[in-house]
Amino acid sequence: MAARWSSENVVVEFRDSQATAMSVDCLGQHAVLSGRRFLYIVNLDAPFEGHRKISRQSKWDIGAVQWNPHDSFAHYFAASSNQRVDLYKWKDGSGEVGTTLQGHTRVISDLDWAVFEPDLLVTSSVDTYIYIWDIKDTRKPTVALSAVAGASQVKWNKKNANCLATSHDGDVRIWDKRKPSTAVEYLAAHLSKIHGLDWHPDSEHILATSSQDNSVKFWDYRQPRKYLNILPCQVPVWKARYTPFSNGLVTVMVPQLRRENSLLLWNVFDLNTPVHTFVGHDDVVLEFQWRKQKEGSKDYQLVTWSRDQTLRMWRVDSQMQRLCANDILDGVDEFIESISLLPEPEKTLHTEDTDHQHTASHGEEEALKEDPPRNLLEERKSDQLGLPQTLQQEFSLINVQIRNVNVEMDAADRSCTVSVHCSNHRVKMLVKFPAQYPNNAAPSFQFINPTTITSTMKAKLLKKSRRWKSKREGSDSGNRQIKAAGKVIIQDIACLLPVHKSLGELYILNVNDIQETCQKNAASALLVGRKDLVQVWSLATVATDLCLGPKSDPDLETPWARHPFGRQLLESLLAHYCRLRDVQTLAMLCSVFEAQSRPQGLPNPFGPFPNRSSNLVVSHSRYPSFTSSGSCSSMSDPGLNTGGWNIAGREAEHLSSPWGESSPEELRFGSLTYSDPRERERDQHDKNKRLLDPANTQQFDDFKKCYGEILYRWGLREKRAEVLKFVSCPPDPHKGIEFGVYCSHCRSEVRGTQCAICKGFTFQCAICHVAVRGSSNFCLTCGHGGHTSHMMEWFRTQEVCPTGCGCHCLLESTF
Amino acid sequence: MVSVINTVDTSHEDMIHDAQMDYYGTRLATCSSDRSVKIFDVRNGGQILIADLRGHEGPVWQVAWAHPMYGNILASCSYDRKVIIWREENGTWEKSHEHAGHDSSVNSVCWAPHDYGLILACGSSDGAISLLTYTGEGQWEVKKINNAHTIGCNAVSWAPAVVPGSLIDHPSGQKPNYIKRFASGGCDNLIKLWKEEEDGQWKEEQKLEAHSDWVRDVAWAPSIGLPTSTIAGCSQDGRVFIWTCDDASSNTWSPKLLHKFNDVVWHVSWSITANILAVSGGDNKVTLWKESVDGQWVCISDVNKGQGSVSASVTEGQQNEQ
Repeated sequence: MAARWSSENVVVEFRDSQATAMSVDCLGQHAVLSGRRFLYIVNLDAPFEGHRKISRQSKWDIGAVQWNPHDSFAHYFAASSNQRVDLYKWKDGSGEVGTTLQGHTRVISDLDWAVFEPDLLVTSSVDTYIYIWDIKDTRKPTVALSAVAGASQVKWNKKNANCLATSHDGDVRIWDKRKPSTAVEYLAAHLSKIHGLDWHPDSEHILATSSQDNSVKFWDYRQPRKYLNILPCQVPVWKARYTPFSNGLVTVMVPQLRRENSLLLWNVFDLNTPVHTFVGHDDVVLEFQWRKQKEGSKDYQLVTWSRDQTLRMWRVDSQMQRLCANDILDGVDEFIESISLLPEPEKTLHTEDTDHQHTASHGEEEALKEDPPRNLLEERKSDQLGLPQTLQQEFSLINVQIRNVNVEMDAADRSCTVSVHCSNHRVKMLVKFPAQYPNNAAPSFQFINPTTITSTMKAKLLKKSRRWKSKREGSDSGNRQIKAAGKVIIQDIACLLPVHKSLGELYILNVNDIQETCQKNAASALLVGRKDLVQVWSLATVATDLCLGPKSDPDLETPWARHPFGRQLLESLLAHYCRLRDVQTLAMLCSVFEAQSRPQGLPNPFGPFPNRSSNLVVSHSRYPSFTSSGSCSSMSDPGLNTGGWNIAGREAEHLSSPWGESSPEELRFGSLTYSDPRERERDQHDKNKRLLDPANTQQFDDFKKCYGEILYRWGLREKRAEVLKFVSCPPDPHKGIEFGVYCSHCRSEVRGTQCAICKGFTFQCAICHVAVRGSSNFCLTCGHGGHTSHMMEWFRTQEVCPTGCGCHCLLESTF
Repeated sequence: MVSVINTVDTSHEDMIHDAQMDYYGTRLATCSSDRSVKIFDVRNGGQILIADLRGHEGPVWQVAWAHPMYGNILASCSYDRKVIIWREENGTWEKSHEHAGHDSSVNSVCWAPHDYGLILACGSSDGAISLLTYTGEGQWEVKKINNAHTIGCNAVSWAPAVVPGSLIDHPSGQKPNYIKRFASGGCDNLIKLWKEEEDGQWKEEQKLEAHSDWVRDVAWAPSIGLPTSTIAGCSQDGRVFIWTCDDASSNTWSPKLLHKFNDVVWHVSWSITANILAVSGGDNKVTLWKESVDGQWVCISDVNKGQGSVSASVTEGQQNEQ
């Protein structure tokens, strides 16, 4: 996947830091990177504005580092180094080791601050002990769990303060810290070593393990024999952790090749394909952590540290979060709709047990989260057909069998409390039904505590309920309701396209300096974050270097194009971008290499290229079109001028230039006319030395035309013209007036400036008597004329034809 | 990711059946069961009503913008059996032509690639497809393919003008010989491909058979110059197929199931580079699909279209029907 799929917005490089571990503090302000010689403290709000260092003297790398996750202790972090743990205190821009925890006799493999008690830290070690430390008393661990086997990971349960999990090779043990002698549960989880362990953020019994055996498994430890789900991977999995939002999971693979993308976001309910690939790191991602959400922001930020020595921050916007969601919010929407839609009139005698309160245990809930509100909705919608008569009846029809939706109904009080609970969202809503409901009054909706959704979402939900309310009241009051038309939503999908408007604006095509063109385009690609294109353009810079330029003599050397890195490399690049359907890159590459294959140095052997600053548009092609004085102009837009109707008015001024503009599409006119064998050989050499295979010219032209069309849509008409200059195929036949040209030597009819029969140039300039190949102007009356520049010069002072034929060309027609 | 850039309150009084952005993505045309066609200027997130076009006597099913090289032209088709071509002249939109050559509801209109001139294909419930060609001076020539789809034709979509498989160098000085082609879908559960013969007659070239119910829409993918042709088709049966033809000479098409939806799929629409397919269905959702490099189609987004009576149109910003 190309880089555009990523939403990385910050990259900070720490060259030579050799940091092995990273941690983000609970306030989202700082990250610590643990290098061998220094600990780097990065201010995440201003990551570029330098960083602080804490130097350390140790021959051991830091094994694990973690900030204390409690706000009040947010400036403490623990770092393990061989057998000991150093507790650092970070205050006012400097840090120092406060205390050191010593107890383990072998290297410490992992450490984890307790989720509920700010003073507790657990460490695991190869020495087979798991120690729980109270940092108020650092002399010895308060609890020692004896595992007999060495542990590689240790993690506190996020819901149960006494519970923690450790991994030992392929096994997982669940501990209760009050029972240190033996583990509560054993899970023979994997066939090979477990690299990562993560508890579910909301479910007490659920955890995810990632292993060397190329899989991530999801467990409910109450069923230790059977995993809940498995995510098979092609490669060993380094870490797999739940996201703080929705039902996401982030995995880091251990890639076989360094450059493989290894950071993936998944929806745990759909493990077929990842939701997102974070593309950017060039090497193994060593650590990733979530930053605390900024106040008022729905975005999450993922902070990653890789062996490529860069720290990156990736924005995970609500759109992406939704991809990990289980339609919970939609569900709530519709849930409310369905409540308010249920029609039913007055009170009833029906008494029924309304105590359907259901409390889902955390463990079951995970397995049952699949789309509950939707089921509820469906049940209810179908119920509408039955038209319940009373509120009581309506209540009785509500499906309460959904485990994370809890409905408490009180028909006597005419109220109902609905709480929905999914991952870390909680919504509790009080619905009150007026006495007239449902005949003349809509229920009222009110959020009550605990509701964790944002106020904007609340507003949205309330708005929706109001809408139903008004609708209901409206229809009930007897008005015939007009079927309301929905709104038309226009979505911007530009980010999904392989082409970028901003690149279209930034790209240049300077035929006089191909090198500069490539370099500038590389810089432009960097600006829009297309790193792949930066490399492509750098490559193009090298490939178009003058020293690789073909020699004119075919016998001198094999042209660069024949080298594997010549045409072959370019072709494989083009094939790649074909697959991505990136017509922008295709067209630009084709144009640049087309330009490169046209002789350099003297910009164009057939005449000067158009000077943009001049009003006079000089034709730049080998075989120009025939422009006659004022009477007609050949069109530069073959695609846009074939029909009978004119194009939109604003185009007119561009096209009405009295000089016309001929296009290089005509380049290929008459190019089959060489008959001399030496010419033929030169022609062959000409084809061999091109980096673009001339056999595919038609396709390359199609790329340029297609890209030209896209540029046109973007309103970048000049850029379009620049690209279309490199189209080589003939234009559509001219539909306006055409001039028959007869060769002045053999009198045969000619198309173009060179006669196909006698090879002579068909017309000479009346002034310099040299064959005209560039832009020309002729008098329609006497037929004399010549180079546009010469004619201009002549008629600036003269009125009659330069040949002396006596024709008053200026009066007959205007130059 | 995909973001909403505008929400246009059309104030149509009934269900909106189609919404199309113009070539530049600056104007939006909508049509509705309220018999009207509306044009909005939607530049910079605005929504200025430019025209409220009345002339149809029944629900208007579809609208189509002509290429801007011909001026500002919009075609619409309706249940009233008519096709109307609207044209902007000096800032006002007026009816330029009315085609009443069908015996039943006209369900789909589609302009040919601009390279061919102004040609409009119209598919109708009378089973016929008519082709209107502008011959100048307000005159339109009509060709009709009778009985193109038994019981009715629901959709038409032109092939791009770039000749697929045009890798062979054309002789210099000659215009590449475009062959006009379009695809149609109908109530016979078929997608048919049509080709203009040298004598100017339209001939059925191919039947693409995969759906088990009415074909609701077909969309021929725009070409970026690659030799493969691609057509997307969707049906009442909830399935969306992607048909590809790698070899223009043998003209063999192979289907690939994109997805089976639980509800009818109304429309399919390609992005300009044909890398994204938008699909709208009876579940009131628009999904976007992308072909991965290894040729698998994956859903990359799930856009809930909001609530209320939602029409079945597919409209993506920056993306125009061609």
